[in-house]
Amino acid sequence: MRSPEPYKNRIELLQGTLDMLVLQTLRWGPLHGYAIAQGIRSGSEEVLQVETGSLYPALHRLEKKGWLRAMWGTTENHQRARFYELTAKGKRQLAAERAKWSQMVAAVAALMGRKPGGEQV
Amino acid sequence: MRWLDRLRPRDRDLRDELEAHFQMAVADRVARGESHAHAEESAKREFGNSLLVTETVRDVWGWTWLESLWGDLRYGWRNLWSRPGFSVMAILALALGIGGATTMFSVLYGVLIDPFPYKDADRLVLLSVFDMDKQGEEGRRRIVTGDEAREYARLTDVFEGFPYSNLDSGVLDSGGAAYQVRVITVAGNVFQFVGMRTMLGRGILPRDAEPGSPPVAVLSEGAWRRYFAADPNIVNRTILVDRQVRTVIGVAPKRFAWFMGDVWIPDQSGFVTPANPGGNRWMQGRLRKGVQIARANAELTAVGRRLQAVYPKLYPKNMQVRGVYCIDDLVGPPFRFTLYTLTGAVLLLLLIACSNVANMLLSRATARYREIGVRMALGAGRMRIVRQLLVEALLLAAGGAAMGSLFAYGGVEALQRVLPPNTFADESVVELNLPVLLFAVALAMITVLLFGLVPAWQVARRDRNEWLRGVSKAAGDVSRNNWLRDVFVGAQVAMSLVLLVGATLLMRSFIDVFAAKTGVDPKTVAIAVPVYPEGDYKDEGRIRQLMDAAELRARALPGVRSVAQSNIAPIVSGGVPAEVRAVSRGFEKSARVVASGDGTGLLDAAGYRILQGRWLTDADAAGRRNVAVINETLARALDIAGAPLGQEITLHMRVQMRTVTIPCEVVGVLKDAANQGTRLPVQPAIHVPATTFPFPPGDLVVRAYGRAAGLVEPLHRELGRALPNTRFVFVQPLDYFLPELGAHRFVLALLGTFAIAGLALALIGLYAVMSYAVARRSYEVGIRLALGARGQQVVRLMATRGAVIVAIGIAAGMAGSAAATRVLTSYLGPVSVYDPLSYGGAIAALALTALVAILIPATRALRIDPAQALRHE
Repeated sequence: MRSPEPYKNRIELLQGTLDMLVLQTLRWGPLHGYAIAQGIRSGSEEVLQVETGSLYPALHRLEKKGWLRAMWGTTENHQRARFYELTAKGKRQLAAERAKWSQMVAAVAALMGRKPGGEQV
Repeated sequence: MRWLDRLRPRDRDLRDELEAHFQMAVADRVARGESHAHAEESAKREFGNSLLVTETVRDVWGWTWLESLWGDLRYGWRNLWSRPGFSVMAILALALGIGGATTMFSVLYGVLIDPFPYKDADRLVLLSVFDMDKQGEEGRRRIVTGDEAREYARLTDVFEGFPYSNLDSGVLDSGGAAYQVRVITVAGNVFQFVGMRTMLGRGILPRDAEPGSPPVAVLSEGAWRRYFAADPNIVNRTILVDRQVRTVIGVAPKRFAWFMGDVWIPDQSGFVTPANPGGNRWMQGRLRKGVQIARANAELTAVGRRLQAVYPKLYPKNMQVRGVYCIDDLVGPPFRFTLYTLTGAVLLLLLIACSNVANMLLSRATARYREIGVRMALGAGRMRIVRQLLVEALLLAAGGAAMGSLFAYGGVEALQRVLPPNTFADESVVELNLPVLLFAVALAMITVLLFGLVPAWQVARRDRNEWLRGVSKAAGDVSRNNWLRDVFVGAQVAMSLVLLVGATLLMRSFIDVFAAKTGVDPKTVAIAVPVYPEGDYKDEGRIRQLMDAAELRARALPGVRSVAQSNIAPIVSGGVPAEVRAVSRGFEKSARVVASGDGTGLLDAAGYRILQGRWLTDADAAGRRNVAVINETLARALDIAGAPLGQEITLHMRVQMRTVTIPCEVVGVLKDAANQGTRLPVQPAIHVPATTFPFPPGDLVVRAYGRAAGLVEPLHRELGRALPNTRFVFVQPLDYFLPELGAHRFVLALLGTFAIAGLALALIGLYAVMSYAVARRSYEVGIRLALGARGQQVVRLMATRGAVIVAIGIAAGMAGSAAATRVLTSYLGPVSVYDPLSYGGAIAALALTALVAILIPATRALRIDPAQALRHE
């Protein structure tokens, strides 16, 4: 009997951000799972590594929410793969996430930039 | 699991998708210059646990639920399969309860709740005039004259319609042969009134009843089948009904049996005509919706009072006119009550069955704490375990429900086969009642779920670690369950005792009230009544001669035990109304009696028992001696019971407008035997030699060694030969006239079956509890045996607990029986509700069988090997 709890904990740390990163990566057009992982990795200059164990559940969750649409296609190497594409709803969501993200970055930056003494860096 | 794959392409998609991902990762690495093997290995490492990924994604889509349910189902099935004894018992108990309850309720519904195919049948009443100074049926008049019928029919504000029907028997000539049938003359609106749709042709319409309309007839389905070989072209054929040519206009559907008619003809006489001043009319009305029966009765009685002034002879002083619900009339209050009793019994059985299953589930729950503990220790979630238990309970319930439905189906089928004729309204149809079946199934499901979840409840309450700390400790914790189980077994013992006592009481009353009353088994006796053509056979001597010849022929038939000429039909009818006078202690006494002139064979043929003196002899008949044999009731009525023999009495009868007086000497007294059916009291009766009786013998009473039904055909044939020119000979076994006997046997058989089934279930429960107790205490028994305890002591130790449960159950059952059987009082007749014999018998039967159920598991303790038992812990 498998207990889902440990996995859930990990996801929760990443969840919001990972969803946003996936949506962001798909901005320019449909990609398959491997390409998305590679895209995030290269786009973040190898800092962010998305594990398959997080990526695919996230992809399917987004698909279920209606933000992504999936279809089977062929890669340039003639590999059959499942491509994901932003839906109109997904695009709106991306915009909303991005706005929220900017606010958060600004807020966190404001907090983190301040030293205990209160002087600015 | 393959078939599940096909059900969910998404799952296959996911596998392909992950595979593609893996392949691309490998390809990338190879492109970067890694060796293929190395690339695969690191890609795999990077990929992580693919199974976990799949599971997580499935979680997203909610597929795991289905899959684990499938797993639960398989596990549950294996679990039930691995304990076939338990599963079979539980399913059987459930099926028994469900099947029994459904069968009984189906009968109840078909017979009591919706027996008639007539429009709004629950509001149909039969007009009856009651003499309030007499008891029940004795003071009831159902037949009214045309004049009365017209007056009552005016009560249109309480009745939607109040048509009449005349009951009569007549001769139906189908062209080839003539038959005695029931001919019902109906008012023109009766068929419309009851909303009858014919199977063939049309029904009787008001215009058919108009004087001068062509004579028509409607056949019953049965008559059409029996006498016309179900001729599909029967409509417009002509038949002879009582020598009148009539055109068949229709055939009634199977369930239509208005006044049990074979043929219905329209009444063209209107209400009253000089030719038909009275008529014997039965009036059936339908109460208007919302009209209380009490109000209708008040209005009927008011009309009755007005009629009383005109017809003082028809209306007794202290009278009431009432509408009696047809269902009450046909089923009768005793039988209605019986059906309720049976329903109570079957509910009790259902309760026993459910508590039995609950008990089994509880005992199994205890055995499973260990298993549950292990599964929890291995990381099973609580909900998962609860669900697992739920699924198992559902599997059991489903098995019980399926089998119970089969039982119910078979039960209803079987019941229809053994249902005695004339028990219920002819119109009623007994079929499986689906809502009732669903109800019983639901009840069983609830029970199983409720008690199947007890361990689940324990699981939910307890800390996970507790299971790990020590499974054996759990045993102490569940003692509450054991207590509950003992209560269940006790309750089962008590309930089955109630069933047993009830069944025994009714059985006793049946034997007392009926068997003793009747003297002879009515199935073994037939009566043959010759019907002579009108005009002929005026000569009494000729009839006597012919009857002697007929008696000889009947006597010669194989299987015949005794034959007698008589004017009675044993049990059913006591003979010709007459009066007897006697002088006792200086006072003249008189009594209304039923009288008959009998042959010597009647003593055996009717199963009479002589209390004093002797029966009529051949010498009495040959010598035309003026002797008489009377029954106890007459001896009491004449106040000569002290010294009846030798008493001089006179018999007075009206024979063709003059009174005949026959003086005779009492030579014997008979024990009372029913002579107007078993439901009415015994009438005073007198028997004289047939040769001295002013009427020729009306019938032959024939007693067979076995059932008389087989004699009907040969008697018909032989008597037809002996009596030339008779219109026909009517032959029927006596039980034909006594529908109540068949009904009673039927009820007793059912009740007995319920009682035995209940007892069996209670014993199974007891056995299970004992077996469990012995198994649980094997360690203790091992120590005791090792320390030198003797087998007898060990058995006694084990048996005590069962004995205590049974004793308490019996005590509770006695109290329950006393309460439950009080409702039987009116039904039991002379048998007391607290009849010690019934109680003693039921308790003895229960205690003896319980002893076996206790001792078998208890002695099993003896087979415990001390060494093994001690090593076990």
